[in-house]
Amino acid sequence: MAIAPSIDMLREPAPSVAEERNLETVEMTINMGPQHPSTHGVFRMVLTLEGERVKNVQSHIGYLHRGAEKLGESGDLEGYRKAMITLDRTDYLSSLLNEHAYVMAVEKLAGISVPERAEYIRVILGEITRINSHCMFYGAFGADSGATTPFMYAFALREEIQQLFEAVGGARMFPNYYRAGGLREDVPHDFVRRVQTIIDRALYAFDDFDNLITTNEIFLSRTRGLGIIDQTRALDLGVSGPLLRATGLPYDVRRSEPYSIYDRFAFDVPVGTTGDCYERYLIRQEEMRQSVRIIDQALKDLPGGPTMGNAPKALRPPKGEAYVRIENSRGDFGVYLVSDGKSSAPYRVKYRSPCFVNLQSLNDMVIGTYIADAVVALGSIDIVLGEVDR
Amino acid sequence: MRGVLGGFLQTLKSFLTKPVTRLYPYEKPPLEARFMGAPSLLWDDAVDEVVCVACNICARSCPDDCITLTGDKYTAGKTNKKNIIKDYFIDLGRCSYCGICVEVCPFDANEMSPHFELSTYDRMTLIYDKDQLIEIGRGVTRRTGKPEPVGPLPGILDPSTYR
Repeated sequence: MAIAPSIDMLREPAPSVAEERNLETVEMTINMGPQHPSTHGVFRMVLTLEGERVKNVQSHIGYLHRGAEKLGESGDLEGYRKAMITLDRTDYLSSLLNEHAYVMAVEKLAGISVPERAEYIRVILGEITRINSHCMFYGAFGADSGATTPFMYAFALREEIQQLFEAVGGARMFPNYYRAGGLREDVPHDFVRRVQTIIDRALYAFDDFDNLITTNEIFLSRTRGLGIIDQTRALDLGVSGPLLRATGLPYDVRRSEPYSIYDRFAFDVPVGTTGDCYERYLIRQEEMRQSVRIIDQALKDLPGGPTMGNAPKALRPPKGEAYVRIENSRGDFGVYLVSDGKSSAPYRVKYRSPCFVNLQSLNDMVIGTYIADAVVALGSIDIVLGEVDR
Repeated sequence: MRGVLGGFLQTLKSFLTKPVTRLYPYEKPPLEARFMGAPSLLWDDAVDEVVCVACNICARSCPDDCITLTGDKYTAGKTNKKNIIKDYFIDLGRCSYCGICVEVCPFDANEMSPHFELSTYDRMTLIYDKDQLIEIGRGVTRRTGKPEPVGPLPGILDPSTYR
């Protein structure tokens, strides 16, 4: 009786099809994207295939380039506020985290202090955004690896979170809520209760997520041992976030270079060992639980008082430059601002987006795998094309 | 095998709970009090004219450059404003609903209305003029910079009209 080969056996480096059967093969080039649902936006891969195996991959980006940095430098009045509108729309899944980086850069540039309450609310909303973004990863990664149900579970939780954003900032995805010096307005009176409800529900939802696919054998065989990047290679490429932590390096900007008030909270930085797709998934699952831990502590200590500091009405920072980085849900996100000291808009805006850098690791992950696994490897990077192309 | 069964048990558990789906066009979700729909111009009922004084700050602060307005000398004499708007256009196809125009307005003359069902078949009809902006601003009160109202705001459009 012949034993059907398991998926793990198939993944071992097999002799090429040509050698095995003594056939002549022709390399095939196929074009994946830009309108392919599993490229997470408008990413285009040109895959060179030998049989089912990927021999080379060439990535094409720029289809969603909107000039967000250049648009951020324009403006006659309120130029420092205008940049945030386009920043929100670059990484549309972690908009409040990116807003946090931007307002911190403006505050550093103009020397504005932030009240305690605003800092706490920024941390709470930022961590909720991280949960929101990782939920999206969970849903999309499930769909990439062949499970469509997780998407529905993820979006049930995302709906609750976006309802909270609507209550707080007036919009579900682009709240445009932070301001240099604090917040646009105080949170609604029932904020603490609503956040408490969401994190209670979220903890149940995370267990549901785990039940669905974390120990599922099909999911394990699709993701384990796939797309491995070792630590030195990851550091060479400059990747950050869950991709880097999956290789075993506990690097998290919240821990290594605490910004805002992150030094006051106890949380763990989950790390992996092998750096494959499954560990990236596990790390994001654990990060969601750690985010709940941070929110829990922040809610307990949430002070009263004003939410807006001493920011001047018409912001015109002195000549200088500022660079601020934060731990985005995808990695190390940085904002670089230059002020010429005269105008009310930044002279230069530059975003260091983690997706753009993390995407460079695609070749290392994909070459040599099957074409169906290329989709899973790309999904595990968790790119947002709006941020790659900016 | 156990992992697959766990997944099936999970879906069975969800099958027995209440669905979270809403039949949107028939069943309207409650809107939050801060919800930002289309921007609108506010009407001053006391003197029966628009609050706006055509100072152009909203147009200059707009990140999308979607506001165009022209002013006229104010001659009615009911209030002490010097100018009043002649034309006011907002291209809602360009608007990003960020609320900056409301935030910067020094005269509390506009507010984000809860209207969000703005889809049309013609792009030109998305350019709202003064009368349309006043029309969607009816029943909207200035909220930005004012004390917080309690509880969620129900949708102001009658759901029965969408059946």
